[in-house]
Amino acid sequence: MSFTKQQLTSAWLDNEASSLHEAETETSAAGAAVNTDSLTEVLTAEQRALWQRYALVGSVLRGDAEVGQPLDISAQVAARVAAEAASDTTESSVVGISVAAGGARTKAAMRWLKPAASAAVAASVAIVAVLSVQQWNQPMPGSESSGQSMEPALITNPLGGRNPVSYNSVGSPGANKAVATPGSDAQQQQRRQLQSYLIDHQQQLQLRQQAEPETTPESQPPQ
Amino acid sequence: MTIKYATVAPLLLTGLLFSFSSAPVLALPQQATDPNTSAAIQVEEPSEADRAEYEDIGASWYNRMAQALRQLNFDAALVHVQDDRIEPLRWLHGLDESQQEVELVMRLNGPDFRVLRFDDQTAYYQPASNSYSLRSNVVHGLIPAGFYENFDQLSDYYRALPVGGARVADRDAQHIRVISRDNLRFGYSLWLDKETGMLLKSAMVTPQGDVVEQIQLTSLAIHPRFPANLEELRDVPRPPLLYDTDRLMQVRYKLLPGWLPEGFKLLRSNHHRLAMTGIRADYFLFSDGLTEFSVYIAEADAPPMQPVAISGSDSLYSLQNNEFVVTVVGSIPVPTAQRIAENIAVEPVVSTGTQP
Repeated sequence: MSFTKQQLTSAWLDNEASSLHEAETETSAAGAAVNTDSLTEVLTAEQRALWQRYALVGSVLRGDAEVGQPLDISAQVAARVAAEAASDTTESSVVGISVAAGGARTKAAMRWLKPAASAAVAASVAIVAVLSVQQWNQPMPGSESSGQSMEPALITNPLGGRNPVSYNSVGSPGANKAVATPGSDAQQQQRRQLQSYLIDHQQQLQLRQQAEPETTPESQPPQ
Repeated sequence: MTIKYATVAPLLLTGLLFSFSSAPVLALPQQATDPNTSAAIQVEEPSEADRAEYEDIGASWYNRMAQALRQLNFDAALVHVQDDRIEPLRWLHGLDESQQEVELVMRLNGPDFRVLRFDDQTAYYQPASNSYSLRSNVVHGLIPAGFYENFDQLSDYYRALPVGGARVADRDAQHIRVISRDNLRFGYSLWLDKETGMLLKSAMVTPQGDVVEQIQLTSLAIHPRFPANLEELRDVPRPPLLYDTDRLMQVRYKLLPGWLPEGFKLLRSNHHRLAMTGIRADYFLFSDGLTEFSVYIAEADAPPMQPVAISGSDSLYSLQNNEFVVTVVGSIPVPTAQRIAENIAVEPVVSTGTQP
């Protein structure tokens, strides 16, 4: 597409088309195509994609300019995701814009189910995050001098949600002071247990949504 | 307009009035700016009736959202922020001519995890492990199942308050707050599309006003008709229905909760092995319709441990009670989880069998 047309697209978006439009008609010998006001008639698919990108950029810019919106810690992320989603839509990587016809239907349907990816997935579908573990324990007599026990045991990695392997490899700062601290192994073990509770909770929540076909547990109290 | 959640009711109401006056675009659902409402909020001391009226407005917005989530044909991109994690997702929903719902949620980062729902059949597709289906009319993990319910189900324990207007995801939005009446549970700030009632943004907040989980739509397209791309999904093969074996085993111990926040009822109980560690535990699930928490009773197999707490969108409190480890997990504030855990007594069910 010519640079002038790009300019025109941009200008249209900014409602400043008229001036440029005149310029275009003057310079372009075959200006007839541009003479219509209907965008869809003028723009090719490529140009429409460009249009969409411009529109997106515009809205993102306007979105950024907004101030005073509470809780909006995700502004930049939102912009990036918007870009991601938009390209997703326009390039039809997932959703067919037009329905595939006939035998291609099943093939199209299969696009929704991509085969196993290379990445490993966590043991569960649970969306679990652990911000911090605070151990409200009294200082252990032996470890008081090292100061270790006063430190809240922080788990900053989303252990179960994404990457159980990194969980295992997370080195405890007190690993070399196993004598002083009551066993970093024990600590690791405890973290693992806590994580399993968090994951199991999510799994049970998923299961509980199953419409219960039979009697509910509360109607049959333990004998 | 970041008004922190006040812990005292009168303060909260004053804050509400303040935000009202600064946001004159408060609108009733289906109805443009109501001059009567604007007049009412000029009154210094709101009467019980006024208060009830605010709550009715909030509740009707909530119900509009619940309806929109089931009925709209939408295609949205969103971010899900949980503690320090951010997850971009795509979310599509449609209601076809035969009133069947189709819903699809896709992760956009990392492993290609998808959830596909037809009415009450929900399929979870995972790239690197077993996919499965569940009988459930809600996709788990995105928004609470309570968002699909009528607010009447929740109004004993929560109040819905309209806050004002805002611009969210480039749309005109109504902000409402859903706050627990006893300040013992998390609440929600919801931004709803004024035109359709669709959820545009949601924040789960502690009683102190700290945000622990958020959803923010970044784009939203609403179609008047069932979109063709969802039609394609009908041909997608669906994984087998998961048989919930956990329900087969009876609990071993009797749970005697000494204290629970009002309205929590036991929904599910069983005995099963935990994921990852294989710990055997008695399991009890409580819900008040919007908030859910789990109680685990496991036999202690290690030297006595100190109580442990995790705070986040899922809080955890675990303590040792004689020979048992009692663990409370759920979207509740840590002090609430702690109080529940500390007041739980465990009693063996009159033993009829032996250990396997």
